[in-house]
Amino acid sequence: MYQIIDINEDNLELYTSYLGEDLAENIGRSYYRGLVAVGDDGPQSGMVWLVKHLDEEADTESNIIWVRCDAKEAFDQMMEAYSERARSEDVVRSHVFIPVKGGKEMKAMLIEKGFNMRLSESDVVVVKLSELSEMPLMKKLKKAPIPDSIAPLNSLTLRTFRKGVSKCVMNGKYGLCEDLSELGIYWFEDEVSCVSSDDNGINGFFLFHLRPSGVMAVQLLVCLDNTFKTTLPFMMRQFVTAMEEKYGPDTLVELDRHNEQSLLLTEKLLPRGFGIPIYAGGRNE
Amino acid sequence: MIKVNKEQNGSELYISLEGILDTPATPALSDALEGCYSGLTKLVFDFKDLEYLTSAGLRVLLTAQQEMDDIEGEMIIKNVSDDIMEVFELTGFDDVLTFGE
Repeated sequence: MYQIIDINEDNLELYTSYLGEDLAENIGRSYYRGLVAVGDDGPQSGMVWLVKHLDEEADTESNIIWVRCDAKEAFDQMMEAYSERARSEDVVRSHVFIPVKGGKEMKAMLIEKGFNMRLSESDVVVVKLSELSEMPLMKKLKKAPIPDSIAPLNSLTLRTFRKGVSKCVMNGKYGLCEDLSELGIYWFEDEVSCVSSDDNGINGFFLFHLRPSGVMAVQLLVCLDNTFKTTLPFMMRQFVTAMEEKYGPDTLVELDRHNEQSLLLTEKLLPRGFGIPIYAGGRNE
Repeated sequence: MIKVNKEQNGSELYISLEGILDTPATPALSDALEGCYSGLTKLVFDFKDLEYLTSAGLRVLLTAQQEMDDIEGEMIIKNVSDDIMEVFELTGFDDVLTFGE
């Protein structure tokens, strides 16, 4: 028998190495949940998921973003506990995404648990800073000056930042952060993240978070008006220039094509870019 | 521009590609594969004359691999150039696909 433990900020330190730092730092955020199944030798299975649409009219769903199994029985018990947790939050459907690399066994176990797993392409494209710098579009953008309307995040007052976030939330633009309105400005790397403004205040955000592992991960990429075709590329230019000044060429940049604008920008910037192969699956709860 | 050559031998389908597998070219490959999977046990791609492929080409291969997985068939890619293998390695496709001589 294994002990099933809900991971929270109080016990996180015990399980950080099992989850990995990049994942562990999200525990404590409103929509993140984590479970471990612990035996005599420590954690033997673990999972982290995001609850989506919890406070909205749309059906509540769950995205399982990490799952690990070191003992089948632990995994089985953990998945039972997950089902209970999902039911208690009225989750209608669960989705799971695991990398193909090393994922064949987990895929089979998830199929056993009712997930229909299929090969797919992740929304996430990972690229080195040096590759971004060398892209033809980036070289072209670097020939033009950055418009005055675009500035680094650290040039903003907290008040202006919060007003901009409110605007995004009102327009349903959360990026990868369901809890965008709760996240402080400190969550974002404020020298490389940038904003675009006009007479009405902020009209665009290019927000990145520096993970503990050193990966620079996009959090929100949006332009709220019809200038996005010019604004977004120049915000990317501002981002890359700032990155080059502060970080090494081998720094990994994670671009998640989380909305149409980020998809179009990434396709334009990285025409050969491809999301990592994943197994994606879902099941009704 | 792509040239797709198909050769079926019982339950085995051989497809050789000549040219570039980019966005405009992928419909030709998708069309060639459409409806072929039923009864197939093996799908072999020959990349001897394939110069280059883009993310659009990768997507077609991903779909083909999933289709073959669904019917528990085998999909193999032969004669992959070093440049194309580099693309597969960078994108993680070397974990998805099976390569042969």
